[in-house]
Amino acid sequence: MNGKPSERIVRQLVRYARWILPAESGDWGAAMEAEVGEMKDPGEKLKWAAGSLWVACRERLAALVCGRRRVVAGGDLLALEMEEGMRRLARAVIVAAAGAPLLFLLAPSFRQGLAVQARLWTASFNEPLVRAGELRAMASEAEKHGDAEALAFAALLHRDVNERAAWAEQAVGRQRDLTWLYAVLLSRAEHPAGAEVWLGALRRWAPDNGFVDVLEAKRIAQVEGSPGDRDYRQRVAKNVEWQAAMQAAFAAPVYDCYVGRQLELIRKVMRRERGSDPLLVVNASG
Amino acid sequence: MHARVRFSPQTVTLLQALLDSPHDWHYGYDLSQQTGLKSGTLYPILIRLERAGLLAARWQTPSRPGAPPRHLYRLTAAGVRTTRERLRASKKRMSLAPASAAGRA
Repeated sequence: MNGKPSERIVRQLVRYARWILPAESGDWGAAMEAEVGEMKDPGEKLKWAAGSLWVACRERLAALVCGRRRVVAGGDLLALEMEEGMRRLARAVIVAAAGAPLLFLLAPSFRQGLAVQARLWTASFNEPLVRAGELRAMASEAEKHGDAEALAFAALLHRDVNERAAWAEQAVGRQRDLTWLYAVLLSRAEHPAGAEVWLGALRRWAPDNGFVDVLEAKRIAQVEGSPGDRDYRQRVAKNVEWQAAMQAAFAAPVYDCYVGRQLELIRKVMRRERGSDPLLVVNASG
Repeated sequence: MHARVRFSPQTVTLLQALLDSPHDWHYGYDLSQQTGLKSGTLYPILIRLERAGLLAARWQTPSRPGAPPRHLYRLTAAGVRTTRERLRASKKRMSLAPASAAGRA
């Protein structure tokens, strides 16, 4: 056998099969392994090896559950069989062992935990933890009832840049002390159209916060291109406006990127709207 | 307790293949190709037959250096006898089946 990945898998499978087989069946593992060497087709080898592993598991399970075997007197057919009673018992044990974990599904908290795990798993494929449809529904309700905090909440969790910008503007329009929302959204991605208006609002709302100057510097840097471009850093560093914005940021008496306010809002809305939904807890803490 | 005797279609297929040349030794892979049984089905049957004394197994000296020894199988005298009896009985059952069906009708 050479070192091809499929060959390695085959070798590993038959090795596992020999390892799993009970001691009294040890020869059979070697017998199945020897046949693999006679095959040419890698797919056939793989199927054979997988079959060998299956045989080994069956033999091991039979040895564990029903160690006692006997030869039927009279030599009538395949003389060796498990006694019927033992076979039934073995089946019952296997069914019970396989079925018992399913009982956990009856518990709502278990199902909820399972859903969180599944969502976290899909989130690793860049799926949002809270679906866009749920957030849209929430924002729509908030618009109807003039609920600025719920709108801000939806804007914080939503991924669509334009929609969340619109929700953020509505939220701030209704409740001025949510202006920090602009800073959080501006810090996340490339500045959307109208970023200057948001920066102006932030400057009026929190004139001493150096974070606003950093966001201004970010906007200026964006004009120079993207970070992947050649000489991007040098171009940005030479930009006089960028230098002035950064200087102002360093000179500012306060630096607040509003993480505290953000978490406070999420916690508040979660308690009010969907306090028991762990998906939001996970999302908020992430 | 009474032991249940199992004579599955796959077992019959394998026994028939072995009975075609009862004095020859067969490789597991050849039996698999001959009967169409996958290794996961074939070997549990071989194991059962061997434990029941119906099948003889032996190791063959490797034909080329570095190759592992291969396992060979053939029916024992008891295996040949039991298989023939079984096949005869199943043929008899099959020939009787239409008559009894007609009788019921």
